[in-house]
Amino acid sequence: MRENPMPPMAGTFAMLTGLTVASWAMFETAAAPGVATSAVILIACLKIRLVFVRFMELRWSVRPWRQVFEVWSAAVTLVILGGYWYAAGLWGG
Amino acid sequence: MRTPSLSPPMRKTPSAAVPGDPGIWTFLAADVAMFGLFFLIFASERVQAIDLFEQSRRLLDPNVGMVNTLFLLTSSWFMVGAAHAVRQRQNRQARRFVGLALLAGLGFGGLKLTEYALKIGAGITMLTNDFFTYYFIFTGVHFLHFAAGMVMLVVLFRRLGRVREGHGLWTDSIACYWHMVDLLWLMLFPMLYLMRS
Repeated sequence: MRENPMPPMAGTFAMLTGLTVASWAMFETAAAPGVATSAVILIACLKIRLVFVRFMELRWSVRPWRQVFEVWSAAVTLVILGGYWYAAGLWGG
Repeated sequence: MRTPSLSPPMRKTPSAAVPGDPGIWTFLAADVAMFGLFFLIFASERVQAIDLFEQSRRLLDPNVGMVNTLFLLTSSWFMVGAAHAVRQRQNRQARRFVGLALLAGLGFGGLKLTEYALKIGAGITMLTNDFFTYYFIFTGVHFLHFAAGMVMLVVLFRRLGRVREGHGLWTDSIACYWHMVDLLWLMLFPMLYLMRS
């Protein structure tokens, strides 16, 4: 079988790279810190999910492993964003 | 059974099994739970000292964090290639991908150690304030995971050179561990470097 010089899932890798650069660019340029930070954390959650589901192949795994990691990434995002919004007075602060 | 339309995955049908040794997944779950606790502690401490955390965060260089993220993502992607190649019984190709994953990993390690050295050289240590206590502990624990992963990659690189086929379980397990090191950094980076007030 012919060897492929590139790993599979190049599209996923390109998406992860693009989202990383987008987060960094958003941090550098966006005016409103609340909007920029919220977007950056949500993008991080999306990237984590891409790694779980694609790179770690959890999209092909039946429950409960996929659920465990989906719940974890959602909980971590909520904790960090919730803390940020609370500190910024955007949510119950 | 539904056939997913996306292509070309390493597995094409839903399965009860996860890649690699099932035991490694228990370890991964416990490890991400520990980091989840780290994130919770950081978020709650930041609420209580928002100005201090913001001033301290400004002393970190987001460019370094971004480049390090790209190093880890690239390394992780090469491990996707290694796992795929081993399943295709192409150990020579897998070994090449593991070697490239190691190179990208060296980039992360070198840059992270340089960042630590520069911070300590500037008089910033884990005793400086609460932010830097968490910064050094969280990134330090992550760095230990990274270092253990690099050792695993070296062992895998050597093993793949000895046989033409096989070591699928090893490769899958190490790849999944390496992806976990990557995804933990994916949240550490924005939390420590990019959350601005």
